[in-house]
Amino acid sequence: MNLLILFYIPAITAAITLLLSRRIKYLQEIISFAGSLVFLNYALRAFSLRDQFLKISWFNISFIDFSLDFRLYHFSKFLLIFLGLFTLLTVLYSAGYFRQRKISRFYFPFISLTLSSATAIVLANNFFVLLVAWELVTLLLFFLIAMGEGKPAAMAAGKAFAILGFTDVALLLAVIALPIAYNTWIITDLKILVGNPLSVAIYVLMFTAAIAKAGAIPLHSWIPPAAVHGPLPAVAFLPASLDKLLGVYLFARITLDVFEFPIDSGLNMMIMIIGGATILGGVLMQIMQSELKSLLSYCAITQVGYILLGIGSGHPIGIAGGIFHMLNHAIYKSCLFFSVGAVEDRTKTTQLDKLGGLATSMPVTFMACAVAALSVSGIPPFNGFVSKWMIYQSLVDGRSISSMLFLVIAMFGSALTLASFLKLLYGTFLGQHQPSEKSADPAIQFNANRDATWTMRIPMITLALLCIIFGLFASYPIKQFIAPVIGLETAGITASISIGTALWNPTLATTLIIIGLLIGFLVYYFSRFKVREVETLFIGGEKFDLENEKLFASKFFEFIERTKILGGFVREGGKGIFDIYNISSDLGLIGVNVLKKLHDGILSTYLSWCIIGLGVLCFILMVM
Amino acid sequence: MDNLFLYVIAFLIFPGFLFTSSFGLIVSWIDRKVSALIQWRVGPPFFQPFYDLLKLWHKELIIPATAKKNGFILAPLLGISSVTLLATILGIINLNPEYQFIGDIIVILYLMIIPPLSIVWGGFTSGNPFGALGASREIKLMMGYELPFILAIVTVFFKVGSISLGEIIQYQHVHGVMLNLPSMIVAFIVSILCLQAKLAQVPFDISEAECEIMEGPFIEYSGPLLAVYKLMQSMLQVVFPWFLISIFWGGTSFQGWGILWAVLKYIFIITLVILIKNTNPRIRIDQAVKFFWGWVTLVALIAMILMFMGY
Repeated sequence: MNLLILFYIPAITAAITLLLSRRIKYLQEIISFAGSLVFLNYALRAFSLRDQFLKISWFNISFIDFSLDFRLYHFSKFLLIFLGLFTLLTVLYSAGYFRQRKISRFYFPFISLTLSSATAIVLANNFFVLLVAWELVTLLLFFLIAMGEGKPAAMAAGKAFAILGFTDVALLLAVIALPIAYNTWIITDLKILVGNPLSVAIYVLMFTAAIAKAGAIPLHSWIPPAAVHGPLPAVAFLPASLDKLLGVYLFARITLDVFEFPIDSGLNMMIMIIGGATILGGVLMQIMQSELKSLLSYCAITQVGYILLGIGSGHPIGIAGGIFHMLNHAIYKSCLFFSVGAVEDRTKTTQLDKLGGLATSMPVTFMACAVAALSVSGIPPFNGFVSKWMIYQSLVDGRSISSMLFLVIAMFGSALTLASFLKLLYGTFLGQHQPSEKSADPAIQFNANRDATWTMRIPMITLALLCIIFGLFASYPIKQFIAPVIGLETAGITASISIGTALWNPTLATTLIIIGLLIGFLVYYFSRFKVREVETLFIGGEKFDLENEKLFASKFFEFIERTKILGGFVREGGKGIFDIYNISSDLGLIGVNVLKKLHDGILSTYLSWCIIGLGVLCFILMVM
Repeated sequence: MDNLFLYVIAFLIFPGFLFTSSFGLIVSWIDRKVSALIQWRVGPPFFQPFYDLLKLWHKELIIPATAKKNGFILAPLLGISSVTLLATILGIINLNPEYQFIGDIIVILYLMIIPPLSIVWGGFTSGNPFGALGASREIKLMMGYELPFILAIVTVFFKVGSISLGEIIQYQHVHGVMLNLPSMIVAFIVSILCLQAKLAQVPFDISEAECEIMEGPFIEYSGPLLAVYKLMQSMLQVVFPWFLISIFWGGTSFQGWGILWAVLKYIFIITLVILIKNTNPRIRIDQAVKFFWGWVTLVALIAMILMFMGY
C-alpha cells in the first residue's frame, strides 16, 4: 500500500466537497462521511502492515535536503486509526448538528483537509514536512473556529491563531536550526544528546509548540474562548481531540525519540512542574465555571497535566500511561462535547442554571455524558482510571519529594474533577426540570422533550462504549497500541513485561460488582415490595413549591471564591490575569505608548532621529 | 483463589458481604450503646440494628414522581456492591499478602470514592432540592477531606516505596508497624479526622444534618432502599478503619491471637470515632472544608516532612 494514499483520500474528499454547494441537503455530509470511512478502512489496513519508509526527493538548497520523508511505524499506525475514527464521528455528528443551523460551505472541506494534514504530521519522518502540516492544522483551526457565530468567534479564532502562530514560529526556529547544527532534519536520523545550550534551546522551542497545541499552562488560554464561541463539532474535533493527539504526539516524539536526556537533567523536572501547574490551575478554574462548554474546555487543559506528568516521569509505565491517557482523553472529551452539543441543540443554551432535569427526556445523551464524566474523573472501571493509575504508579517509583507532591496534586485534581462533573451532571440532567422558555421566533422552538437525532446519538454511544471497553479490557489497547511505541525507547526493560505485570484485572472486579448488582436487582424484583410512585414532593407535611425552591448548580462551589488566597486566585484567573495573551498584549501596549511619545509631529524631532540613526549606522559600518 | 467461583464466595460471604455487613451491624450497636452511655441513657438491645433493618425491609417503597427512577434505584445498590468489593480486596490481601497486584491501593482509594458518589447520585436523582443540597454538601466535604487523606496515605507510600497493600503489610511485618514512627502517628491522626468525615459522623455529618435538611440525600429514600443505604453505612464503618489498620498498624492476621489483636485495634479506632462524634457539635460545610484544607493539610504536610527527615 502506498503511504501517500492516506492523505490523498481526505484531500480528494475536501476537493470534491469544496465544489459542492450547501443547497443540496446532506450532499457534503455524505461525501465527507464516505471519505473518512474509506480513510478509516485504509488506516485499519495500514495497522497490520510492516513498518515502512517513503522518500520523495524534491530539491536541495546547499546542504539542506527538501525531500518529503514519510515513515509508518507503531505510533503513527495507531494514531491514524483514531484520527480516522474521530473524523468519521465528527462528520456524522455535524450532519445532525447542522441540519437546521447555518454553517459555512467550507466547514466540511476543512474538516477533511485537517484530517489530511494531521495524517501528514503523524506520518512525517522529516521536520520540514511536519512543520508545514503543523502550520496547516493551525490555520484550519483558525478558520473552523471563526465559522462560529458573530464577532466573539472571530475574536476567539484570532486569539487561538495568535498563540498557536507564535508557538509555531518557535517550532520553525527549532526546525531551521536542526540542519545547521546537526546536518539533517530527518527524525529517525537525529539522536541529540541534550547538553549544550543549542540542543536545550531547540528542545524547549519544540516543546513550546507541542504543549501550546495540547493546551498546557501557560499556553492554554486559547482553548476556553475557542470552545465557547466556535462551532461545537469543530471544537470537539480539534481542541478536544485532534490537537491533543498531535500535540502529545510531537511532545512524545521529541522527548522519547529525538532527544536523549542525561540522567538528572532539569528538563524532566520542568515538564513535570508544568504538568503539575496545569492540573492545579486548570482544575481550580474548571470547578468554578457555570457554563458547560467553558467547564469542559478547562477540563481539557487539566487533563494535559496528567499526560505531561506521565511522560515527564521518564518511567516506562508513566510514558505508557501518558500516551494511553492522551488517547482516553480524546475519547471522553469528544464524547462530553458531543453530549453538551446535543443539549445545546435541544435547549438552545449551555448555561448550567437554565438547564435541569434533562435525564428523562434525553436518556441516551445523559448516559453517554455520565459515562464520559465518570471516566474523566477516573472512576474504576472506566478507561480514565487505568491511565491515571499507571501515571500514579510511575510517580511513586520516582521516590522523591517532588514526585510525591505531584502525586498528591494529581490525585487531588482527580477528586476536584469529579466534583466539577457531578455539578455538571446535576445542573444539566438531574435536578429539577426548568420550565420551557417560549421563544418569540417559532423557528427555534424550545424542544427539550426529545433526545438528540440518531446522527448525533451514534457518535456519543460509540465513544461512551469505547470508554467502557478501554477500561474493562485495558490490556488490549495497551499491548496493541502503546507497548510497541515505548518498547523502542526503554532499553533494559521490555515494555511487555513492565506493563504486563503492572496491570490489575478490571474485568474480575467489574464482574463481582455486576454480580452484586444482579443479586440486588433479583432481590428487588422477587421480594415484591410495595412500590408507590407518588405525585409530588412533600416536606414536613406540606406540599413543596418546586417552582420557587430551586438549587442552582452554579452556586455549588461559591464558597471557594469567598476564601482569601484561593478565592483571589480563582477570581483573578477568571478575569484572565494569568492569560499569556493578555499579559503580552499589555506589554505590547506599553511599548507602543513609548513609541507614541516619540511621534510628536514636529519635523525637527524626526530629522534629529534620522541624523542619530545615520550616525549609528556609520559607526557600525566603519568601526565594527 | 484461581477461579471465579472462589472469588464469588469471597465476595458474597467472607470477607465480603455477609461478614462485613453483620460485623458492621454489631459495630453500629456498639456505636449506639456507647453513645447512650455517654449521654446517660441505657441504649438499645444487641439485636436492635438487625430489627431496624428488618422493619425497613418490610416497609413500603415510595419513589417520588420527580425522581429519575432507574438512577434512584441503582444508586444504593451500586454503593453497597462497591463497599463489598472493597471489603473483599482488603480481606483477601490481609489474609494473604501474596495476592496483591501492583498499585492496588490506588484501586482501593478510588473504590472508596464510590460510596459517597452513590449517596450523591441518590440525592441528585431524588429530584428533591433538599436531597440535592445534601448531595452538594457531600461533594464539598469529599473535596475537603480528600487532600489531607491523600497526603497522609502518600506519606506511607513513600516510606515503603510501594503502592501495593500487600507490600506495605509485609514491610510492616519485617520493619515493625508504621505507628512506631512519629511521622506516621501524625499521619494517622490526620487519617482519623478524615475517617470521621468519610463515615459522615458528627461533626462532619453535614450532608445528612437531620435537624436541618432532613437526612439530605436520603430524604426521599424509604423502605428497602433506605435499608440498603443504612447497611452500606454500617459496612463502611468496618471497611474504612480496616484500611487504616492495614496501612498504619500492620494489618490483621486471622490466626490464633491475631484475631483478638485485630479486634482490639479495630475497637480502638472505632472508639476514637465514637468519642469525637459525641463530644463535638456539627460545623458548617465551609468551615469543614476550610478546616480540612487549612489545619489538617498543614499537619499532614508536617507528617510528610517528618517522614523525609527520617522520623
